[in-house]
This record gives sequence, structure tokens and C-alpha cells, in this order.
Amino acid sequence: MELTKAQIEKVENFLTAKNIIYVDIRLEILDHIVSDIENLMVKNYTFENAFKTTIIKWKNNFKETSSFYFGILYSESKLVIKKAVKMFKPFFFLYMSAYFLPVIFLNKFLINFSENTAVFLNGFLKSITALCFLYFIFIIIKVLQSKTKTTYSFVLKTQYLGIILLVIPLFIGNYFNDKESLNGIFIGFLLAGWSVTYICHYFYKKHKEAIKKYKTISI
Amino acid sequence: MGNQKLYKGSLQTIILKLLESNNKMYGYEITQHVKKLTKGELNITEGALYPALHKLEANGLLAVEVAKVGNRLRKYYKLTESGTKETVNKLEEMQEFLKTMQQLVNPKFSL
Repeated sequence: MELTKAQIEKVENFLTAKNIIYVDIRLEILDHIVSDIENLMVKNYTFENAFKTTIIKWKNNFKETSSFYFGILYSESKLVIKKAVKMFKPFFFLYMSAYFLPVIFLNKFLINFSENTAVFLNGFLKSITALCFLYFIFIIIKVLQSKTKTTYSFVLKTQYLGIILLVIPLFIGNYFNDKESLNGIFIGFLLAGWSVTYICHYFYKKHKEAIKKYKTISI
Repeated sequence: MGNQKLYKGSLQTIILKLLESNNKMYGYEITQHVKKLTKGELNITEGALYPALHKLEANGLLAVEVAKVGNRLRKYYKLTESGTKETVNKLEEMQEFLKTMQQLVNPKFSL
């Protein structure tokens, strides 16, 4: 027994109320719930009863939760968080290593340069960081402008604060100490800043691909 | 109903094997197919199925296809080339695991 458009709309409204708004997840959850309801209606349930029974079955998946990987500020339904964590986990370790490894290494071993080289490298690193900063801003604007939300755009949202890692060394720091040796803390910021830019680039690409994939066919 | 925890570590292999045999499948279809094949012994919950599918997709083992079905869209999963290779590996691992478990649970003593 196939649900009518009006009945599917009721299920869609329910999903929207539960904040299942990410197109790459919403579509299959909607299909699964509708299939569950149709299956119950074959067993002589009314639409209302079948809908209620199905919601009870799914209840746990819609519970709002947060993750250590994104912080408590970013909570979503369990289904969304689980998918986002699975995608983001490898990048989290890249991010952490990019910051902590240079801090640990450069605090133990001094790497010195001549004054001229240090000035040149400082300018070079700042130029790349400035480009990353501009690209980061571009991604933020593009994602904010995008009406369609995906779990990739959710992950992107959780990374916006990472721009601070680019801003701090760019405007208030120096990549070299007075004695022309690399500054562990600022090099840590620099690499973490570049990593977060790469992470945002990766998820922005995925976000665009997902929009393209799910917009190809519309009812 | 068997102990669902025992099946938990094998979920990805089960999904890969099903997709190898059925070309492309959607979420609800996978749950029903497993229920039918195991005569209700194994019930894959939505909370376990979708994270497993998403992980396989993120790892490049599954590709996704969207099709219009009746009044709604349906997301089909199918194996990629590396997914097909990984299925062979996973099934071999599973056979080894079953053999080891068999030896542990039902050891054959010989003189």
C-alpha cells in the first residue's frame, strides 16, 4: 500500500520538526519510515497508528546529542552526529597532530635560520596563511548562502572557529623567535590553521557534490 | 531472537555480502532481507544500519544512486570496485573467524 503525497508530507513535517534537514540523510530516513508505515498498513493498521508505531521505533535515533569531536555547542540528532563523527574522525587526528607535533618538536629542538632567511620565510608563510584565510572566508560565505544543508555543511559549521588559528599568527604573531629560530607555538597554529583550511576545503567539495547528487532528481 | 551483540562486529561484512549478491539495495530492503534470510534471528536496527552504510560509503566501498520510486526518492547502495575487492577479503576473514570459533567452542581432540 503506497502512501499518498499528503501522508508523506506529514512524515516530512515530522522529520523537519526533529531537525532531520540534511538532504543526504533525510531522503533515506524518509524512505525507510514511509516503507515501515506502508508495511504496517498492509497489516491493517490505519495511517495514524502505523505512523505512531513507527515513530516509537525510531525515537532513539532522533534524540539530540553532541560529540567530543565537535564540542557540546553543536548538538544534532543521533543519526546525524554518528554520520558526521565517522566522516570527521580521521581529520580530527590530523588537526591535533598538526598542532601538537610542531609544538613538542620545536620546543625540544631549535631550528635556526639566518636573519635574511627568517625574514623571507616569515613573509612567505604569512602570505600562504593570508591566502588560506581568504579561501576560508569564501567557504564560510558560500556555505551560509547555500539553502540546501548536508551533513558535510554541519561538519563545516563546527570548524568555522578554526579560522582563529589563521588569524592569530597572521595578525599578532611571528613564526620566528628573536634568535631567528622557529617559534613552536606559532608554527603549531600555522599548521593547524592550514589543516583546518584543508578540512574545510574537503567538506565543502563533498557538500557541493552531495547537493549536485540529490538535486539531480526532484519530485 | 539470538544475541544481537554477537552479530555487531559482522555488520559491515553482512552488508557487503548482501550487496555482492543483489547488485543494489536500499536501507529498508537490507533490514528486511536479513530478517528473512535469518528467519527473524537477526534484526538490524536503523541505528546500526545507517552508520555502517555511511562508514562504508565514506571509505569508498559503496557508491550511491538516487531514484524516484512512487511519491518519493530512494537511495540505493551498490559496491564500488574497491568494495568488491574488500568483500572478498572480509568474507575470507569471516571464514577464518568462524573456523577459529568452531575450534574453540567445539575442539576435536586427537591422540
